[in-house]
Amino acid sequence: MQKDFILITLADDDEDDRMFFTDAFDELKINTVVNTVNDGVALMNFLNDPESILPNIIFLDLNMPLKSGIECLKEIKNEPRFKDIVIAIYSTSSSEEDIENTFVLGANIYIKKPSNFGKLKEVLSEVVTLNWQYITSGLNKDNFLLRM
Amino acid sequence: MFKYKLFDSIGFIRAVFLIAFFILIFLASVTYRHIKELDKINDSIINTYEISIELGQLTSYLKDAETGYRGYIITNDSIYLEPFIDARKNINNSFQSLNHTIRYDPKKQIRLKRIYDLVDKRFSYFKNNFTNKKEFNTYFNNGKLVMDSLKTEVNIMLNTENKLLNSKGKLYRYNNSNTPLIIFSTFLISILLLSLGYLLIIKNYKDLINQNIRLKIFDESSNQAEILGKYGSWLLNLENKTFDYSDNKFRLLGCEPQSFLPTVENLISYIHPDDKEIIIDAFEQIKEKKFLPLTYYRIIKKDTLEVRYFRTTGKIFVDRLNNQKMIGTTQDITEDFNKTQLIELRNKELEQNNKELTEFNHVASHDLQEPLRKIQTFISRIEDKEKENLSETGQDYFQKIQEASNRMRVLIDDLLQYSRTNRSEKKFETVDLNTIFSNAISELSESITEKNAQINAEKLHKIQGIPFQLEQLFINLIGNSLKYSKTDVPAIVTITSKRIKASKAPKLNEKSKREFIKIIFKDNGLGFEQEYAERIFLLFNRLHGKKDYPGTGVGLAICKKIVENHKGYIFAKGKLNEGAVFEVYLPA
Repeated sequence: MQKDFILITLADDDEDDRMFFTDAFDELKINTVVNTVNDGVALMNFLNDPESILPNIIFLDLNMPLKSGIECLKEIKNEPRFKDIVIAIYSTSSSEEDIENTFVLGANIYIKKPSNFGKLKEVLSEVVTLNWQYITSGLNKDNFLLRM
Repeated sequence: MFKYKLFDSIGFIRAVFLIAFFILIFLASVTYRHIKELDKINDSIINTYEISIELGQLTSYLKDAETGYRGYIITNDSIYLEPFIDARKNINNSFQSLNHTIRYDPKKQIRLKRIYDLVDKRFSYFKNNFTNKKEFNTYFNNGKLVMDSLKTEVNIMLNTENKLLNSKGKLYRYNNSNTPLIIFSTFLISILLLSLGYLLIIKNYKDLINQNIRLKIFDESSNQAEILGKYGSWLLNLENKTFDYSDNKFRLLGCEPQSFLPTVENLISYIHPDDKEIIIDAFEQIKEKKFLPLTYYRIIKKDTLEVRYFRTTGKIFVDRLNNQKMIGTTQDITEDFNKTQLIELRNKELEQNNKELTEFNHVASHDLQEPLRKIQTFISRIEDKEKENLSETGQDYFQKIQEASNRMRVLIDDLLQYSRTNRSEKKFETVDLNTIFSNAISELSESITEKNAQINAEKLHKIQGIPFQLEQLFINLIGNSLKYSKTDVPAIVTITSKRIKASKAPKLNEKSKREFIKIIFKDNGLGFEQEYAERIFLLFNRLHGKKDYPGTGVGLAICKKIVENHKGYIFAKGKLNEGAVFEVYLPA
């Protein structure tokens, strides 16, 4: 519908993080529409609602109540309807285990939440402006974790 | 081997005695027959002798009668008739005894009858009153004729007897001339055989005594072994369900050795009530299984009423009398059991501790990150937007908050890395230390340039290890040298490696013949006092103030952890202001 806008959905249970996230996009001045949900169940309800417009990119926190990011990732990747959505893992953890698991399950990129607002803006801007069609074809584990 | 030898000689001895026995029987029968024959000959000699004597006496009686008669004729004195009358009586007696002697021989009886008739005829010619000389002469002559033929008859009879005796003697001598030799030789042979048997028996007996002594020695040593090893052996007779216990088996049950006759029933009486079923089942299965599998059960000791843990096993065999028996061993494993239980308990505690520690590490590093990240993000937001609104003191405090939170960030990151070193999977692969080195250099490139440092490595070895951990090891050790480098001279770090035997490196205190790769990191930095050489590897241990050198005291602790993960050793050598040397030994 709105082809000029990038539709972004963030699933994160932490209120502060959601605030940082939306603030960052507000300041970035990229043509985005940011939509946030509070947990995994809410995310899946949103995606499965036929009325919803599917986002271009989902930022997925891993550690969420009710339904974890990993579970969401599995469900999304099992549904052909969602195959064009870019999944960016957005987590505090940078454990090898989490990175490995989400990579194997088909996430597109792994972002460790930065502890500096400036850095956060940089990271988000980088992810959103990537040419995903090009990136997905050359997906490999070395550039899965976004390093800035 | 020995058993067969013994069996052979028993068979041999049996044969020897059997032969000797038959020889003796043969000898006895030959001797008996011989004596019997001699007896017969003796009888006939006596017989002949008696006949000869009697015949001689008969003749002499006749002569007496004749002499008496003649005296009477001449003197007419009746006194001379007495011998004549006696003679008649004596002659009759003689005949009677002769008749008795030869009663089994009809030929001789006929001859005797003839002699008797002749005697009778002779006596008929003795007449008291002769009417004339002519009559006297006739009688006298006839008498003499009868007497002559009588003598002839007697002589014939005597001769016959002598001939008979001679021929019998000859036949006997002819038949038995070899008998003494045969008897003597067979006797000798049997004596020889018996002596041989005797020698063999003595030899076997001596062997048996020796075997017996050996057995007693082994018995004693097995007794001692049973006491030391806390086990006892038993023999179960499956027919009547009785046991034969070794002394120590009794002791294991808390009883005096051989103080009662063990049976299945009284064994069960010693067993812990909860384990009786186990033993009853085990006995029921013995016959079909042909052996007693390892069985564990508890008993209650008779003397101390202590509960002991036993382990038993046995095997069936069939003895010479075709009785089914089982030979078995029982061991008191209470000490082992207790030790194992203690170890298991300790293990569980350790596992629990480890789990808690890991959990704690995870919480401490991971979960602490989240609030810290938010604090730092908020700090960065204030810095961007609100800093100008603070007073100078406020800005100063704000600066301190920022520094403290940064330090906390470093601490948490290091701690996380340390716990990851502990937790991560330990997959070993062949690692080229040269690659590890170049990766570490590129990771540290920034601070190398900053410090204007020179890092040299000769050709390094390949080892079995965890690549990312070894990389971390190199980064930490080289990074450590860079951090504590002198400010006035450029830092030089030299890395060398060589293969070394454990025995050539006394520091390792390893008795194995393993080989190690010794990697040496040598720098020209600040060094340290040798007395701190061990402390520097402890977690959060620092030799310098935080202000002078940033750090958390985790870096070298991580190095030690990594080396331990590789079953290696790490040592530090230092001299203040002259540099430090780190020696890493990793299994080749």
